Amino acid sequence: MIVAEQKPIQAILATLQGADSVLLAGCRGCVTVCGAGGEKEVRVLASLLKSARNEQGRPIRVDTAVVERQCEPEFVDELPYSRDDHDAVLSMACGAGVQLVAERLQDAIVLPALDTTFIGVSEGKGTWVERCKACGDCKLHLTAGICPVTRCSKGLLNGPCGGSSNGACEVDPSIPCAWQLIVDRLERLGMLDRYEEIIMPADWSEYGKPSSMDRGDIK
Amino acid sequence: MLEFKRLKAWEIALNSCIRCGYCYEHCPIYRATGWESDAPRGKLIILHGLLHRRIGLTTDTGSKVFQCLGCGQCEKACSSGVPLLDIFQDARADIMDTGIEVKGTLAETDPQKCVACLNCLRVCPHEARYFQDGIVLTDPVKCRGCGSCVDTCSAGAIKFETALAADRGLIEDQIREFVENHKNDKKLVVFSCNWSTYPGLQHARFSAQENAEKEREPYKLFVTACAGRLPMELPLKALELGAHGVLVVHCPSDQCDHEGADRAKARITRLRNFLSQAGMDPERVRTAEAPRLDTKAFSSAVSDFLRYLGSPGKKAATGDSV
Repeated sequence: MIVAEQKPIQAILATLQGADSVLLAGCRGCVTVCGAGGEKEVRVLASLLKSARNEQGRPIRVDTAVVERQCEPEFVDELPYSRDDHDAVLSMACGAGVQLVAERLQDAIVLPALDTTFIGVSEGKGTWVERCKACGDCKLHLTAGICPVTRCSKGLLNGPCGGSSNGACEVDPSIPCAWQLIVDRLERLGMLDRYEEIIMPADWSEYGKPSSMDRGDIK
Repeated sequence: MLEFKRLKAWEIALNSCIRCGYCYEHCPIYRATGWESDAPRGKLIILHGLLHRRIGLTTDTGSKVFQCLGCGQCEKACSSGVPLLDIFQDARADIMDTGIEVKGTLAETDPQKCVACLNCLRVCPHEARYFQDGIVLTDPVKCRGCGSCVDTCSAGAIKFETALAADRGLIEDQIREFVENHKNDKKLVVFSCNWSTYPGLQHARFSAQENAEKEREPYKLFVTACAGRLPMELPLKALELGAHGVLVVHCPSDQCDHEGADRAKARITRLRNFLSQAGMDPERVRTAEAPRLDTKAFSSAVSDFLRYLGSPGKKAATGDSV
């Protein structure tokens, strides 16, 4: 899933400087699962914004709504936004959601309340870790199911580098060396011979350009 | 055919209740509902009736033992040493075996809202939440109604049929009324865990005279089940509605059966960071630790806070925009 976290409150307040009323929009997708932009976070942020602005002597009206997913046009269209009632929409979705809201609400000022941080997995109570860079050229079949693009600080396809020390990464010793993990797991699986294979450079020519997908079969 | 196999093993213990009623005043459920059948003694009488087929098993009669937070205050007060918690636990299992629908102080999932993030399942200290058919459900036998799951649910999908003092709407209304009645005071809203300080406080405030005095004090007390149950937005809501300060009183970590003290502290720390970021005084929201029955810790935390709020020149004294 996509993991996000709330922006610092002062940054959100700064973007709302010129607004006296706002529609605060949550999303029941990934950001609810990672506790950043669900119904609860919408309630907390709404209350906080109102209190902070009351204290500044510039009260703000905060209307709230939570839609199923802000990455679907049909759901975004359900947002109860009205240009007469709202100076802005403050979206608690990932960056993709914020942009779709802006795309659908042509006359609205749309602001992000979250920073989208990574594609990751849950590691247990309140902990998420990055596992995928969405590089578009998956090599996990060669690396024992551990992604060196994401988990090696240098993104090496043929590692480790000379900085791997006692299983830790030289860039940040709190990070396990991805290539140590890969070699250990290949060994456990009895597939260490795979480590001999040189992984050819990934095709990065498409990476970084806006991507899209067009599936005729589900139209 | 109703068998109550487990309950039958407790028949002697059930008979040993002498109906003295010492358990009443200690029971948070009885305090909240005022129903004799919700008090521990009433529950025992109902179980005795069910076991001996003098009353029928219905959702109403069967649900009574599910109206229990498992605090054990009744057991401590019991003059006959009846092991009430064990009896209630086994009765719950027997009643669930019958397939009858039950209600109570149980976490309920709204299937329309649950996104199956599993956060509640991971934090439940009683292993009472489980995943089935796309949503996370509650095992009524295991759920202690501590509410640890409620504020971990970003989807707002968990609620309690019997919310007791933790009903958000009810608390908001009472805060509004309190703020209205104390317009010129530095108002403090206090959320206290049921297990730590409240039993002692309850004794201290038993007389009508003291209750009358309490009305004039510029603080309002809400007793939640466990401090870890307190939704983060409630302290914020109190500030938004015009309270100057919010105090959350919890048990020492090693005395909390629900990991709620640590959870409450972590949430309030996050909230204080939010207040700092928003340019508000973080000291307006505080936690205080109070061991069981220790009313002194509670009183001094309240007095210190009221003094802080009332001190001229303090940043807290700027929140006069009520």
